[in-house]
Amino acid sequence: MSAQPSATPKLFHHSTPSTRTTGWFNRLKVGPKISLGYAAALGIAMGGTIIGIAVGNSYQQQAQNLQADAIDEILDIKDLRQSLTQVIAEERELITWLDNPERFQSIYELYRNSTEEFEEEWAELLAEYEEDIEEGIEEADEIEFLENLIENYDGIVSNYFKDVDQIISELNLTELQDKTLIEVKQRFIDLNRRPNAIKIEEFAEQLSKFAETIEEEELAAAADVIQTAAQLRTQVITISIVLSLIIASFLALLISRAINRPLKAVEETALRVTREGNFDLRATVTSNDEIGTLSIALNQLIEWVSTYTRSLKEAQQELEEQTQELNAIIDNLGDGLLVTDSQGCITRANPALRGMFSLNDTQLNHQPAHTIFDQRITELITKNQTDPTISQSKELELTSDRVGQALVTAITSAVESETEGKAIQSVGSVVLIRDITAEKEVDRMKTDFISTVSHELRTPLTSVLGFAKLIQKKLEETVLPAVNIDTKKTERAARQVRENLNIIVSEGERLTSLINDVLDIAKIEAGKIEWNMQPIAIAEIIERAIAAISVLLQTSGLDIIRDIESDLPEVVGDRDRLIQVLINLFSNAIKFTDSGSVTCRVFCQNNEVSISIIDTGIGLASDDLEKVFEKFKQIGEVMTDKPKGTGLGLPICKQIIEHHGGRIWAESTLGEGSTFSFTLPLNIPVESGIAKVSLQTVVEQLKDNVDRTIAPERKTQKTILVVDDEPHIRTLLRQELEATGYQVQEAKDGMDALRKIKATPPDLIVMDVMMPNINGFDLAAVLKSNPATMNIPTIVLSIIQDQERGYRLGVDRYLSKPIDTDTLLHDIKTLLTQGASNRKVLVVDMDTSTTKTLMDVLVSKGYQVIEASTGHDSIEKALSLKPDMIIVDSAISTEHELVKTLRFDNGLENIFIIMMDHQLVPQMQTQEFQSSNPTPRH
Amino acid sequence: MNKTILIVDDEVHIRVLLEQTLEDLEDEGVELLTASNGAEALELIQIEKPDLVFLDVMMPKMTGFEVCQAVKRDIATQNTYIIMLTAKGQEFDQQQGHEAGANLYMTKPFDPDEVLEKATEILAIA
Repeated sequence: MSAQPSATPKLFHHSTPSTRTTGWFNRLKVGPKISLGYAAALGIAMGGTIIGIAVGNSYQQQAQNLQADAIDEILDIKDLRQSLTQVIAEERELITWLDNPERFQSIYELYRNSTEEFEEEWAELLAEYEEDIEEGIEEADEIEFLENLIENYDGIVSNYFKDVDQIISELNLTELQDKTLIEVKQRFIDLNRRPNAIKIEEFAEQLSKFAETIEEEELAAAADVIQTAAQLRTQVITISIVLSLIIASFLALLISRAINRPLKAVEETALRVTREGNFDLRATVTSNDEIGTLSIALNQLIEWVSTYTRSLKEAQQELEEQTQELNAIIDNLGDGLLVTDSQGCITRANPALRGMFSLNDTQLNHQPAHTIFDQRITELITKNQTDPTISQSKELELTSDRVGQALVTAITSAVESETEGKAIQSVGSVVLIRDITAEKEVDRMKTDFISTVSHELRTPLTSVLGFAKLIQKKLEETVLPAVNIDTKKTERAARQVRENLNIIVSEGERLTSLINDVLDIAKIEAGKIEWNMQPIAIAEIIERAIAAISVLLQTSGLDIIRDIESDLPEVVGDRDRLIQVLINLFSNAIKFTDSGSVTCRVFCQNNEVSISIIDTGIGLASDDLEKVFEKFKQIGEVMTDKPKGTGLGLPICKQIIEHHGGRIWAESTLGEGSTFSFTLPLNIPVESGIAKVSLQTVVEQLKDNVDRTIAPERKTQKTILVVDDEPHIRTLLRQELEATGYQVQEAKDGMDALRKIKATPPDLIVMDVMMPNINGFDLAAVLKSNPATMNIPTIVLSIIQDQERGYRLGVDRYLSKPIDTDTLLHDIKTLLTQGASNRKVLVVDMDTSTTKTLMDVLVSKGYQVIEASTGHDSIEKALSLKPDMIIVDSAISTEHELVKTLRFDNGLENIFIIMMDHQLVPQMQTQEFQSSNPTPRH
Repeated sequence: MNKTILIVDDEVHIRVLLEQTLEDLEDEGVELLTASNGAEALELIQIEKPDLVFLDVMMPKMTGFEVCQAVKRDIATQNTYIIMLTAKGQEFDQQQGHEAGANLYMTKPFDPDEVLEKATEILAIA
């Protein structure tokens, strides 16, 4: 398995020794190969068997032939003996027939024939023996026996016949007499007594013996041979079968190996490629059968996979390089980078960010952002997730006294954002935090510089302007009346002094406004201006601006034309700054218009309000249209007549409008008039049915709605207790509150306050925190824990920024110094109209964890929370405790018809009820209130 | 009883300007005092207990805010009406002035007529 790739071809060479010799074999398909193997094995087995049978048969035949020969021989010898016996018998018979010549003659004839026949047969036998001896097939003892016979008995028969023949020839049978007859008989008897006759008889006996011998030996031998042949045949057949089986098996093995080896090799290649991932391996193609095709296919597959894998690897590497580059960029980014998913969990933070927040050893990934970063960042992320189209930036403090600017943008999928009309889904947020400490420092230095310069300019200017004005006054009041203006010279001098002084004063004033503008623009650019953004009615601020320029308008004698669309929506902006812009544009229009009118046109278009100030004045050259918004670019040539501006008015306008997200531009025809226009975007609330509403939003809503569930204001004058250790603050508040129509009590510290509250409980308390003898927090704690005083609305007014503590104590509002009178008065009014403090919220939910969550949030915001877990319970509590609001699980509500019961049956028609859809609630716990889904229904 | 106005500024020209602006009041029996720095001003206020103080902000030794704060803390002098005069036309200064307890806040360059008017009003001189 661990063989080197090069070993694979070797393997194939081994596996197919037949390749070289039998090319055709490899061209065969696997099926024919197997068939061929079977055929070869079967053929060899059959052939072997047939050959075995044939060999055995041949042996048997041979043995049988041998036996037949022996039998022939025996029969021949027996025939010979028979003949000899006949010869003897006939010769003996001759005697008996001597008296009968006819008969004798016929016997004699027979005798002679028999003798001749015997001689012939004997000769034949001898001849055969000769042949056999020559061929060497006759057995030795047989030959010996025969030679013995030949030696002893060859020719005796014929000799004997000659003897007989001689006797007979001497006879004359016809004349034979008794006497002669006896004599002849005697001769024959003599003859018979002779050794020859005895020998012939012996010969006959010997022949019989010979036949017996042959019979005994030869037949036994033949039987032996036959038996041997049969055995041999069996052996040959067995051997040939075994042999052919072996050969067939060997052949079958060979063929199966020829099939199996390449298959094995292919398999091994496939396995190795799979296991080692070595795509350099290739299966060797050795045959044209299916395995060959398989190898080719496998090779192509490996090639393909290899190519694919390589390109994949290359792409991956490229991607990795890109990622590394990106990572390097991100890691070396000077700005801090924080990426969160849509759930607000951190997915990425770069070293710069860690440095900024000293988080070098903190595990950040997959942590919810709010557990690590403070509220300002998490708020940015939450807002961004709520509406991905808004990219917001915020300044925040970093560690070691550094300042950062955070910019959040949503990660939206490009595809979806291309499809118009679909709500853009955000998959996360990117917060980029730039350390702007240096910039802030530069800004601060710049602002300091400007403020110092402005101070240094103002001081001499104060003297110049002040004395000039004093001189003016003294001149008019004291000097001139005392001077005798009789002479023309004196009169002229007096007039010139007056005019010159006027120039000094007006130029001094221009210098002052220039300084003011420079300061203004510097502040805007440095972001030092506190923008007081609030909903504004356009028509109203236009009227305010027109009122401000009324004097100018009157002196100019121009008409003002209002072309203002009715039912304009409110815009969000800084009222005073927008009025400043309008005044500037109006003043410019009036300044550069001698006669005609100034038109103010306002209309709403494309989600923005467009405001234009149109004059019929000298106008501007088209080249100058852009320049007028550049700093210190007064269009000199055109304005030589009336150099009254500072050259900073329009740049300031531009800054203000751009801060509001609007545009400002000028259109003009020289000599016919100019149009200065600006736009303000309308903040249209995004209507999204399934948009996630943060609990924060719900709490805001609760607050607003609780504020609205107010009983009509009672006519009696309300008393407000002002608690502050600083008398002038008390005075200030007293003046402002009394001016608004409230009765004011004062207390100089917490102890004093308690005394006064006990004597005459006020309707509302405004208190400082840092006071001697019971501070504000302690005072609030005492008041809020006493049932007699806990319902008195309380406002904290302090330089100490500890809202959380205040709200936890049950304070209704927490305002910071310096006092923003408008907010204070608004809050006082709201709280007084609302009546009792510490708004009660009844939470009805079966799920205790939800109730707990809501309670925590509400309590932290200063609400008094009552729990109820069943419908009956909630109705009872609602009736007895009269909460300002009920938050109820919609399931419980439906079950008990809670809304109907409370509203119509129990006279709580003004109560504010929020229903919560329970399926949507569980998310709250995991996401820490950031994205719960309570659906308020009215 | 004679009313007293204290003019505090480190710039002699401004002092002269204010003196000349207010000199009409001298005819009404108002006494004009001057001080050229914060420390001197505080001392004079404690001794002379003026009714009205024109107080510059940017001064050596002791700024106007500090003087103002000290004056308003001292029960003996806390009823002194203080008009802050500053060359810094920034809201921040106004807030600081408010917090220091200043009664009024005027930005340089000021209009002499306005100054005289305020002084007359505050001292309740017909």
